Amino acid sequence: MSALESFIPSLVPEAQAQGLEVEPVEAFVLACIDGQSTVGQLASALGMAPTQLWQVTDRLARRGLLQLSSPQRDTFDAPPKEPGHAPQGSLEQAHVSGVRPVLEGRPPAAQAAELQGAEALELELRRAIVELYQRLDELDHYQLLGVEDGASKAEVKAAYYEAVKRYHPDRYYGKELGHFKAKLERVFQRFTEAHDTLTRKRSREEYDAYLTTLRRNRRTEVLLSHPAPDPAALRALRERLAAESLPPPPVAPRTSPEPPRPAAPPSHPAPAPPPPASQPPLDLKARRQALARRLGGSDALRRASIPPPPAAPRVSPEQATDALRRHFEGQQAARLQRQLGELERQVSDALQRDDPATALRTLRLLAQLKPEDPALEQRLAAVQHATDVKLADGLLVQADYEERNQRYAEAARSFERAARGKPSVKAFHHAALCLLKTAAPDYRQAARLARCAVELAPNDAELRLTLGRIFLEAGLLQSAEQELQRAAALAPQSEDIKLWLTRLRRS
Amino acid sequence: MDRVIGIDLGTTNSCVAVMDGDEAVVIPNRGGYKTTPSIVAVTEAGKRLVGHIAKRQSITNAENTVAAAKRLIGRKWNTAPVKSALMTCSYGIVEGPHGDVRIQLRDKTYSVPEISSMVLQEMRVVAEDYLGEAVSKAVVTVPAYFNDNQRQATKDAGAIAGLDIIRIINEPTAAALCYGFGKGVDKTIAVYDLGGGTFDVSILEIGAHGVFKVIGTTGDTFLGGEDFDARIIDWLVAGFQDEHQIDIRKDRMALQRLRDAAEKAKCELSSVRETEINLPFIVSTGRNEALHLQRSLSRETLERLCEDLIERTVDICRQALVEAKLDADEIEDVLLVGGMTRMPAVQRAVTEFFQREPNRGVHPDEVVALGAAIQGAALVDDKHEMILLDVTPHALGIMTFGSYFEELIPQNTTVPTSRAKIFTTSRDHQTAVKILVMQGESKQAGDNELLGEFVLTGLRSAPKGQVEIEVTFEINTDGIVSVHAKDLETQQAQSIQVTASSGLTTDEVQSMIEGAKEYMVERRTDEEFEGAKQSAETLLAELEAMLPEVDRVVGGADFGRDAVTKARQVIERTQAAMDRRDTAALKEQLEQLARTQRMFKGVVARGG
Repeated sequence: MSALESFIPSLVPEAQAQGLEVEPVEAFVLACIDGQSTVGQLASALGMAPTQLWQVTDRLARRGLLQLSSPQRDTFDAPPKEPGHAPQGSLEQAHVSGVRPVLEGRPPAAQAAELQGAEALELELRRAIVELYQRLDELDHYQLLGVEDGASKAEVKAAYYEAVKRYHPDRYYGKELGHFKAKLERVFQRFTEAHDTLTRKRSREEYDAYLTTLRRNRRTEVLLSHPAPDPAALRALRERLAAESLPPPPVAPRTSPEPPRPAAPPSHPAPAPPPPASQPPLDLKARRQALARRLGGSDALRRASIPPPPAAPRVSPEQATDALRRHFEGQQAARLQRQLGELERQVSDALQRDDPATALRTLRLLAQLKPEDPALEQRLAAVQHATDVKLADGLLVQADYEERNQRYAEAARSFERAARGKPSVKAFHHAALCLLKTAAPDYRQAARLARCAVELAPNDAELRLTLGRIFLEAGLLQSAEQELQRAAALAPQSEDIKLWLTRLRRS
Repeated sequence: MDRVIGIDLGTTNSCVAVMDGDEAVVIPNRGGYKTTPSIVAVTEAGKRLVGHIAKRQSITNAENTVAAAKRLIGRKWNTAPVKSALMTCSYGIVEGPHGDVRIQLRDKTYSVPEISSMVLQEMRVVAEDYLGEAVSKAVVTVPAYFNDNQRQATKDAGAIAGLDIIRIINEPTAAALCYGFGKGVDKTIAVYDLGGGTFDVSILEIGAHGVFKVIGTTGDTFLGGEDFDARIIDWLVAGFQDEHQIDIRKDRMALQRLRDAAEKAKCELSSVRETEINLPFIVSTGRNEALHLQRSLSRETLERLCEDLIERTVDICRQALVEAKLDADEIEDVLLVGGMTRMPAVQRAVTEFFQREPNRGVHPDEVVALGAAIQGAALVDDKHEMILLDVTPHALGIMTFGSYFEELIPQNTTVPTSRAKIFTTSRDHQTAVKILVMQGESKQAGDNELLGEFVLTGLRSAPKGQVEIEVTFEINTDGIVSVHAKDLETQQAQSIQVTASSGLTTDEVQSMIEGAKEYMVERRTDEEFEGAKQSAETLLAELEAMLPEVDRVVGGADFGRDAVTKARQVIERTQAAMDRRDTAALKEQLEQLARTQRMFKGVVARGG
């Protein structure tokens, strides 16, 4: 994550506001972006987890509202080719653009070292290998091969053959490859895995389903993980709503990297101009102050969004302002009503589609616009629950796939989160089992999960066996003995349980 | 650039090919044959014979003639294939010092790689004679279903023969390379390879970009032409037994004659409907009465005798399709490889199973060597754009507590590849673990092939199950398997490359290489001498013929008498050198002889 934290988000000057699909937290983050602070700095200034902030900026970048740039872009003259050209707006696009400059973000010395050791290969190729090697775990199969999600079998194969001809070690037989040989082999293996998965009908269906679920789950999780929006964000949102479709667009500070300067009234103390882009970033304290100013004076935003008053020289300025305000307030109220109606419709649509995640997001917006509405809060709670359950179902699907493909750490996490949303014996049990198969199992957590499963189905011998095994592996012999005995009492015929009891006695 | 030859080291016949420009060509041996029998013999005089010359004397010298050594290569003494070979082989098989197999020829025992190295060496000499230059690099083919020990032993054989085997490739894959190389083929094909001793089926995808990807391969390393021969032999033996109550199998020479007759009959029945097997004086009874074997064998009978063998190959084809997750109608072409595929019943079975006529464009005996030569050239020469993606034919894993086999790399995984798994200690206070590296498909470790073992020590003393060891398997592009074990707590690691497991220790291979070098020199000298001797004999004959005439013309003069005396001395010295088998001296005399001959010719011309 450290590499991600060093990115600097800045607003895209020519971006158009895209309807209402900006969440409170997103609007909040948008309002704070100054084109100078890195993700890490913003996160610490806003009191958010860097991961969370990264996810938000990621989503915004995906919609073209902001761009992410690396602080050390100049150290790498040729930006690496982007292999994934997934459809615009999909999650992976954001990932690609996010992970692309991993190599760039490193100190130059490290790059130089990584590119050494096989001078027989062209620098361009070495760079491509190192780059790809570092991103292997982050790219999905489609991104890796550089094909669209719906690519035909022939397209997948053609992409694979091209990759093989570039990355198979035999292409460089007899050349001194150094550490590149192992990297080439690993890269090749990953390409083969992608090819094999995507060219077999069944495995591809499974993988596609997994990918869809994974993406949906990720979105839902982000949604659920957002805390209640803070007043500043809410205010920003209201302003956004109000200024919707009014020129200039509401996301005013888009003349990056220069932050916006309040245009009026002139008496208002202007925020300190940010340092020029070439200067080193401000220290954290200065940055926090700058942000605080921006947040406190977020009326700057509104001012920037409101067009200059029309010329009416013979009316006193007070009157003119008053009339103008009334005019705008009337317009705002009407627009708000329309938006509320639209939002209501979106909620019911989403619920009908069985898409509680979208319904939840929209309801939250509604709740912010109509803060004291108990009926709305009830609905919110209900939809939140439905989202939890839906997410849990999705996570179960995801976890099954991960477990089948022996990605136990991921599977354990997915099962565990599924169990949180929708407690079930299976989820708890498999979360524990997968955890046991990971590199360094957290036995305490495994035991907790297994115990939850046992509580749900106290007469299931298998669950007690799992719990007993965990105790045994954790070295808690007495507890292990107890659980295994109970399991044996429940299923006296089980060979498995007998085997584990024997093992226990030998311990 | 070094030339790389491609050698198909077959069970019954071997073949060598080389890249000539953009095309691979088979190199004929000195007899003009494109294949050479994989037969090695030691004569009474202790001379080694390889190839056709060894085959010709195999009946009279059955006990000291090794055929089909490939069936034994890389096998452990204590296995069923070796036990069955013991029953049928005419030569002596004994247990070696490492539980491996040794072959007894006269008063010496040879390891199987040593025997195979003699065949490889012969092929190398065939290539060198043809190319007129030394050859040191080769790509050698093995049955796809060979396990790592068998491949390693084949590599050892190459090393003993002084050949750097730069790659071992699978026979059906090689056939596919030859079929698709440089032709822009874009198809999914099946290769049905029924050789002398082994059977393989491979399914490949050939991309128009020059990428050959093996999807799956399966086979049986103990199913081949020899088994068909054995059916005929059994039938002949049983018939003889019924008629004369004599088991002719007990007589080694009779058995060898039966074997030859069976093979011949089988081959003939591919083109004719009926053939006569005639072995006069096959055996003599105690009463000094000689018995003859004479029977006629029809194609129908042969097909009946071998029905189940062919059925077995079809079953394996079916399995190959299942593993490749393909239906028979997704196969766009079928290649037939190996001499056995000339049998009409085999062709019928293949046609029926794949629902298409097999491809007839490849030569079943030569296609494998050609493919090996292509792969060799593609590796060392950048201009050939071809990449071969092969698979590991057997699963790889380790033995776990309770003698179970825990698979790490599944069968038919494209190499290079690597997989890791976490294991834990199985006993309390266990501070060392032994990693037994195995290959095979059985859940029971004992049924699989042991490839190597190593010990990881220095683990923390703790209750069992607490210390974790990560085991990583890796197969690199060269097919070398390496295994690493790492204690996740201390990061202490141990690893091996699975190499020295062909039943030979490194030292043994080394000493065999030395032995072969000596043999190489010895053999070359021999040839040189024979060559010099031949030239000398020709010259001598001419000189002898001209001597009286020369004597008549110039004998009167002093210088003439001198010249004749000198000529007689040269002839004497040449004779002596020939008797001593002194090549160097003989070569010296050859020059003298040639000069004398030129002088004599001049004298005779002028005198006449």
